[in-house]
Amino acid sequence: MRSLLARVFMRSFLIQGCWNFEGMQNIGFAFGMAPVIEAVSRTKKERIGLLTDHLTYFNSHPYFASAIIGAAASAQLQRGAEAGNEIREIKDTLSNPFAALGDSLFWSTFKPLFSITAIIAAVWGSVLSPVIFLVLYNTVHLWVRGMGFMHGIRGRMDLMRYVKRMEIPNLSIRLKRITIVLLGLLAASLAFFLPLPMVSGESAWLRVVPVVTIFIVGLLIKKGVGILTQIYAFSLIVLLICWLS
Amino acid sequence: MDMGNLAWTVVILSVVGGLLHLDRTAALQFLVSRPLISSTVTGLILGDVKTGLIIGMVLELLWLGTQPLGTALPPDDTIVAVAAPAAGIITGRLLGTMDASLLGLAVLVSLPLSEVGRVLDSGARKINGIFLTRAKAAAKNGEIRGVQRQNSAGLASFFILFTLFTGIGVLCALAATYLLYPRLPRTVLTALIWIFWSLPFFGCGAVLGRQKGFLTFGITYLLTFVLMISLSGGIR
Repeated sequence: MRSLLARVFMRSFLIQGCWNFEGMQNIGFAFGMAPVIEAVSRTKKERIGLLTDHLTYFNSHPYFASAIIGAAASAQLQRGAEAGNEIREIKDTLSNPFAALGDSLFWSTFKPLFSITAIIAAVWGSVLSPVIFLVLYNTVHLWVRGMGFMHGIRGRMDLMRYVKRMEIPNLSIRLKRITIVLLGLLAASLAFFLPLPMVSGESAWLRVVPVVTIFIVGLLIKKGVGILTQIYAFSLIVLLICWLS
Repeated sequence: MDMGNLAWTVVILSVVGGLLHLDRTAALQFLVSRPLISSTVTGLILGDVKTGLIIGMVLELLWLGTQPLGTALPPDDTIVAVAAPAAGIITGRLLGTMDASLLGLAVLVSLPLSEVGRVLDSGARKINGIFLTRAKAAAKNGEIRGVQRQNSAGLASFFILFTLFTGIGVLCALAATYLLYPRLPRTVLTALIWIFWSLPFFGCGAVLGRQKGFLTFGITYLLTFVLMISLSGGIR
């Protein structure tokens, strides 16, 4: 039983292996559940029913999808082919909220937080900054993925209690504040350490340029102007200034 | 660097690029596909980790905070993180030079690949629709392995597509950088130095624009900057 669940967990890392616009992660979900289907289906008819069920639309955050697969696998192992409705309910009730929580916690919070931390380390001279990022990020990632799966195995209610205990919305808000503070630290460090090109002597006023640039770019991003458009427009302006001077 | 070595280097970078791209969506998602990592790995392969790390830092910030949301896909920053350092480092070797203007040019010519990558990503997911049809057919016959194979097929098609794309992307960025750089007048080179110097600040601005907290950022920036000036006894 344990080795079977371990196989399901390992397979959940490939849940987006065949991400498609129609069923999204459905093939990955069926792929993850395949060892369980093999173990519980007694007849071909049952196998067909289970495979068809698991190929229905499914989309969630990939890290939290492991938890949902854990809950589905556990239900299937306990109740066999009879667990169809329960699994459908697990997928329907958890996939969307977990997608939103996962996007907020990982893509919008931990990724920027640890990226900026690692870049600050690089600006202050550490060549190990990529390693710092990978260790920090994946410690959290694997912890949440692993614990989510464990709680999923114990059942949907246990999984929901676990996720609720994490207080993801509050945690995200707090960590995003830290990210902005670190961003300020990073930008100031860059403005201080990056030598101004082709400018000799004290040039304090030119050190204002970075912060003005950052605010303008930030505001334009908020207005929906893409970063590439801004970079190329800026490049043309710089080119023009250099040409004229 | 002779042509044989160059060809092998591009082949290795293509395969590594294909593997890194798998991490973006299809497999694992340990975020080794982030520009900070991808660019440093490219630098490591080409024997210039420092340049890879510098370009990685710059690119990491530009798209930080963009994310896949349902069917909306983010730009492909991984291809830029492989193509830009490759173009910069290899051109530097071939021409016997290395400075900020060269890196600026390498980044500028590589940036549009991010949008091409986004289109390809969408295409790869459309191709996966074929595997879904096959998976459904296999399910109707009760073939568990038939369904599993489609997941592997999705992974394989993604890997092949992005290995080829990385190879072509690296070659295009390299050709553009190598052909343009020696022909650029001094004024353009000066502009490129300023552009490359400004890119990290564009990255910081992009992150700030996608998160809330302009005031917190401004206060932290000011305090840190004043603290560093007072500790170092003036601007360097």
